[in-house]
Amino acid sequence: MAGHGHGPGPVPGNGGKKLAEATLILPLLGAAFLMPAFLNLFAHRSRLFGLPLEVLYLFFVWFALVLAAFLVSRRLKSDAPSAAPERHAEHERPTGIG
Amino acid sequence: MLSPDLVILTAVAYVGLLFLLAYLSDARARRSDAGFLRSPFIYTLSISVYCTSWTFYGAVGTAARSGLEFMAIYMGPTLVFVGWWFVLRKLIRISHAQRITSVADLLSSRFGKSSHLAVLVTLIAVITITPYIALQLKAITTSIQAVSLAKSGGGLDDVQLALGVAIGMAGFTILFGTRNVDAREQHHGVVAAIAFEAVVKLLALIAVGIFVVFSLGGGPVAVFDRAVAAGLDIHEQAPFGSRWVTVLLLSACAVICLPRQFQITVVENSNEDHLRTASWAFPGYMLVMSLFIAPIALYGLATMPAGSNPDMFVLTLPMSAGHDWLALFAFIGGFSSATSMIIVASIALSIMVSNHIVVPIALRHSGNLEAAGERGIARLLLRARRISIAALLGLGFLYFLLAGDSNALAQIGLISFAGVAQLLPAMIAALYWREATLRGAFAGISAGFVVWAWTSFLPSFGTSAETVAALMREGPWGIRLLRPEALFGMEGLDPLVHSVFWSLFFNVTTLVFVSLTTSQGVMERIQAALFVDVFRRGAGAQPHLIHASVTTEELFFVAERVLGWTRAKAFFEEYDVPRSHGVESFVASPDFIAELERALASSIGSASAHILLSKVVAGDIITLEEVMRIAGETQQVIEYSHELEQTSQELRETAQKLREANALLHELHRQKDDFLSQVSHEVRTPMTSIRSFSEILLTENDLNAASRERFVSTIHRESVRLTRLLDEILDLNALEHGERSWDNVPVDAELVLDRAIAVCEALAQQKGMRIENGPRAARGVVSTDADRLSQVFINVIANAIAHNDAPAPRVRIESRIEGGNYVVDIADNGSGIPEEFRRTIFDKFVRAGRSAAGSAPTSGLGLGLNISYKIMEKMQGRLELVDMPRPGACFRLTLPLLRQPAEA
Repeated sequence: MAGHGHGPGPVPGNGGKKLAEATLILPLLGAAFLMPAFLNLFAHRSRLFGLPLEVLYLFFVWFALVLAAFLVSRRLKSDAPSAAPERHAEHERPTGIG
Repeated sequence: MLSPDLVILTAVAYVGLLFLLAYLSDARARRSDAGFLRSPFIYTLSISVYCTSWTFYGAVGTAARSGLEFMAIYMGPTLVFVGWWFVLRKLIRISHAQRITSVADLLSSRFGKSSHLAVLVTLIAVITITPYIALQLKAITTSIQAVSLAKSGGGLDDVQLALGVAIGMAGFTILFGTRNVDAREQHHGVVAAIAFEAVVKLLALIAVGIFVVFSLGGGPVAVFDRAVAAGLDIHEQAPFGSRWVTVLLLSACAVICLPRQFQITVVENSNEDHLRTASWAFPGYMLVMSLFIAPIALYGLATMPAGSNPDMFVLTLPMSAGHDWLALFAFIGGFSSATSMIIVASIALSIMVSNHIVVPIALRHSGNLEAAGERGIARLLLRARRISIAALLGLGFLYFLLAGDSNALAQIGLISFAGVAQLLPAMIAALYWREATLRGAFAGISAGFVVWAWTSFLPSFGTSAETVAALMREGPWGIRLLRPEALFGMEGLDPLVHSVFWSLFFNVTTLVFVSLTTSQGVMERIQAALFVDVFRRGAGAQPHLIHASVTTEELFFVAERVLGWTRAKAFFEEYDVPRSHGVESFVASPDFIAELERALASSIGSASAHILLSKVVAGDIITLEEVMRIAGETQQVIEYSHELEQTSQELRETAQKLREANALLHELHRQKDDFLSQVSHEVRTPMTSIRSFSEILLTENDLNAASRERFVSTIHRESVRLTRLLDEILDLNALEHGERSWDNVPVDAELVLDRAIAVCEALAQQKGMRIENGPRAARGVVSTDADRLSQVFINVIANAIAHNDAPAPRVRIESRIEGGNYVVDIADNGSGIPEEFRRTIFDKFVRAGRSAAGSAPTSGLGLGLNISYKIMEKMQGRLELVDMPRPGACFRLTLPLLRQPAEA
């Protein structure tokens, strides 16, 4: 079944785009997990390890978001026009007008 | 207890340290040695200007009063930053490309470089941010009072303190925030100081947190236990609801729209890639910052005497434990968060005020630019910025003076957030909605702002002003439907939720409705494309708005007024544009003019830059309509030629198809002709012999009986042949047109094959050859017409017998079941089918070896194999010529076996 001539790995150049699209899931999922519907699942006046459950949940979501953003930002390819600031990039423009 | 003098001295010394830091950083940046200052971590730290004293002190107070709401204030920005790839990255890319200097500039530039919109946004920013500055002043004075306990001693005057702080901050900001006019030349000194302050406030809060939780409280669990023991509710009192969502939304808006955040995140950004680090590091910073907030609040509530101000727990808890130095450090942390906000906010606002209010007015009302001299406009800008910084801090101080004692200030944080959130719909539309118009943005922002002012800003004075309180109770002119906190009768909601709902509702609906009903100006359309499509390749090209008949002399004159002689000269040289008096006739290219406009925009904002250039080269500007018309025509021509190309491509394809169809028709026609001539030929031969023999019989009366007998039998034989030929032709015709019906019934093909072999046995014996039976299948039940199948078998075997020219002729027949098919191989050991006939052997009238000189004269009509082939096709089977290792021809017949086991 497998193998219509493709290599086993992901097609180069496509992975970055897919990952970029996938980053949309982070804020959306984060927002969903922070909606009252979710939060109130954990806000029923109980304690875990001696700490209020809702506090632990919020910090957990927060930490997971930071971690995910860290991993994504390391893997996502840059498409910035130039690493140098704009002012320096200017010098790379073709001159010789007139 | 710390003496007030010591506290104030520490604060002054700290500000002195900031001066030194800013000065050194600026000096380093000037030597183009800003490597460290341009690191992504400095960038991230400076973004934390988001955490003001309102979050430093106020978060604990919020936690004490309303539970976990303080976390929403941090989590909104977290969501924005982890989604940096979508909003922030686009914002920065656009701002770098368009040299955007502020949030007002962004909106103005997107909506056709409108100066009206810029003025509106600037005014909103000033109105919403000034109370916020006052809040910082109040935080500083309150904290000084708290840490030195001067209130009881009456040694310090709040007003004097606030005035001193305001003046000090104004001095710092003017010194380091207005060194140059080019907003894109970043304020390295300021950013370094802000980053330093970010570290200080984080360390201070963590130090207090660790001290309170671990040293005083005995660990986080113990802190919670103690709170429970003291009768406090450590859980959320009410379930999370609309207020939580509203705060989350507002803080997410604020981190994009607040002028100071825009200044730091977008304008001061030197490298788009720094966002990558900030995307996780800034949320991480806020996470660490809020770790200890709730425990500090609970510990404070549980141990401090009733009536203590929870906003000051960060200071009073260490002090009550006798750790004055820790309290002083915490004070410096709070001082840091307040001053960094004041500095950046006043820089951002002063850029907006000077670029969008002062310069346009100056440009409109002063006809003589000549009088301004070199860098005249730049000097005007700097002066305007310095004055506006002083004025803004003065306003903040005034607000503090007027409302300082009331509760109005305490709530101003979220109210201010709600105010700047009115810019968000227009900003999102600017980035993603091409059809959004200037009028739509203007109307939307205005509507949202008016509703915000009515439902949020005005009620904040409700506790201090009796007229406002009456208005809130009764509504204006007694119209109860317009009560600020129960608009259109919407009662029972949290005031913040109520205000945000109505203001954003009117904002968005007005924006969309007006955008849909008005049309864009030409400049708007151009800018909209540049903004929305910024990631599209090639979209960065500025359209040429100004006709190329301006002399460079005039342009240099303008550039010099803004950039100064040195930078203007460098700019012109970079583009190889001469500018001396001798070459006045030199005509600048439109590209160059567009570049110059962008360079000017980075100093004075896009609207002002456009006004300025248009003013100088007023007589030579093509109207934008004309540009658009030209662009439109070009577009039309391109589309038309594209259409033409497509049409001609279609025509070519059609012609090709026609040619192919024609060739096929020709081929069929030729085949038909061939067939007819073949048939005529085949018919003619027997007819000729019949005719000649019958003529002999008619004319020669004296023939002997033997001859007569011979002639008649020849006539008979030929007639039979003729009949067979005609039968076959009819048969073939019927097969081709599907007229002959037959009944497919389950038949054992083996029996049919046996019968066919038996029939052919006689023929074989005539030729003195034998039919060999190879391995045979036991039985092969297929769905077929037995007679027809037999016809095919006989035909193929007869062919094999008739055309076998071997000395010891043999025909070998094998059958087997193979892959659900019944397969019969009929092979001979003759010379085989010559190569040139292998492809056409199943065509009509093809007789292999016919070309070979005169061989096989009467041995077939050339229709048999063709008929067999057609029959097999009709039975879903195949008849094919297969290659054999031995010499000779081998025909293979394949028929699909019947699925169900047939009856015996």
